[in-house]
Amino acid sequence: MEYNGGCVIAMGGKNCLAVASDLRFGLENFTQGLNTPKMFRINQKMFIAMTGLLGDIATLKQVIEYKLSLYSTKESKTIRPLILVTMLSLFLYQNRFSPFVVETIVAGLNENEKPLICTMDVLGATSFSSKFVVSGTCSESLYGICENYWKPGMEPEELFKTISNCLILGSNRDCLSGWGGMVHIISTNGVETKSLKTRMD
Amino acid sequence: GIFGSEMLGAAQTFGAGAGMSAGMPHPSMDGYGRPAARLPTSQVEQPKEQRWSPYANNGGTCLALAGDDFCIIAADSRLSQGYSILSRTTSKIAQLTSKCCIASSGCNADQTTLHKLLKFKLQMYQHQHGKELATPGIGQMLATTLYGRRFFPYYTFNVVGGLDSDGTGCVFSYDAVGCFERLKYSVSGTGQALIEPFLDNMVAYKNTDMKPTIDRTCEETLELIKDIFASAGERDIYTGDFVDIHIITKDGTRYEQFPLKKD
Repeated sequence: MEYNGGCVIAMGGKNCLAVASDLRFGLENFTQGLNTPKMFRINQKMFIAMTGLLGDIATLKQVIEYKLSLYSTKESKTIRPLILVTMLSLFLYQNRFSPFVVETIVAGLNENEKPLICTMDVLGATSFSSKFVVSGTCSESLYGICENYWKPGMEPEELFKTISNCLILGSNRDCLSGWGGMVHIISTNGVETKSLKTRMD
Repeated sequence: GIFGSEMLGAAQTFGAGAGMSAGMPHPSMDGYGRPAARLPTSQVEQPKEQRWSPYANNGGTCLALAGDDFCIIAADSRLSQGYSILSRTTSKIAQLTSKCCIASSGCNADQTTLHKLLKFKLQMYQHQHGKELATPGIGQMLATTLYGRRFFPYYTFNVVGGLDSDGTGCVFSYDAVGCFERLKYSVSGTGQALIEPFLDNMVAYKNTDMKPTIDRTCEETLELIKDIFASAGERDIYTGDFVDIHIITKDGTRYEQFPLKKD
């Protein structure tokens, strides 16, 4: 889990959502890449973010794309966040005895514009939250700092400031995370992407 | 008659086949002279070395924050072992001198002994020099005490806080074998990872442009510490019950207890 490093936060606001991740790709103590966000867009309203072994992250992303492509062909509609969560959870459990070494976060806006965020462990055990979810090598630091700074009913601008703050402060104490950050803010107007300037160490 | 001798003959044959080694049973043979069924090595229970560990982590979080003319040392009061709570009201803080306190998390046994040892050493200093040892001196003494046990360490993560001889707040942070550093704030224990980034933001004003022109007063810092422990108690299972807070100023030491969630 700690081979590549990385961290991800997803936070819920008032009819909006934000997902943030660091950009480091490491090989234990060596930093190989500085432009590896761990978030992937599903559609206009949904993101999947993963931390853990980068190889498994890439594979899982391709598996999800394949399954979603099948879903949209069979069902002729875009997938809802809760359905994706269930699908992913079942898929991860199918590898109960040789799991994908990833911790997934699913973040999406429902039809009623309420954010849905949830985190899954390696075997697909889901944990929903109305506030925030975190994952990564510095997850304890992120829990601590998000617990202090999150408040209900944040608008997109304030949500962006809060999630950026939390990501930077949490990952600064962790040598395996950092080297830049990226935030996606999802609201009814669409997806806005912003890069963060962080300590490059 | 006839059957009896045949039976006897059969028994003798079997006996001869299996009992080649002077009548004792051989492990690779079963009692009927056939080779015994073997299990693969992976299914046979291998001998495993069991070892008693002298260390236990009893959990808890300790924090110290220094201001210009005050120092606040706080620690939760929960004593845990595994997933059980042994006590809700065990103090992790010891008052060493009128101007210095130490808070230790980690192994409760080592913490109690260490505090006792430090108090003894300070009493000796007081008798020999006629005055109390100043906080930076206590900081150095603790480091040498911890390093003295380099090869069977005190499993404690200490934080020393107090006023130095100029009356300025000082905090010293240690690892288990005595590496120490003077800082403005320090946190140790199970809630360390949760609290440290928040202190980076609030006390060192990292990643923010909003450094205020006036420093926080003692009362404001106290409120901040109560908030910090409440947040840590939410996410860390080993932190909770009560917070013991010692506030050291030039007028002496004040003690406060603040309740936390009991879950």
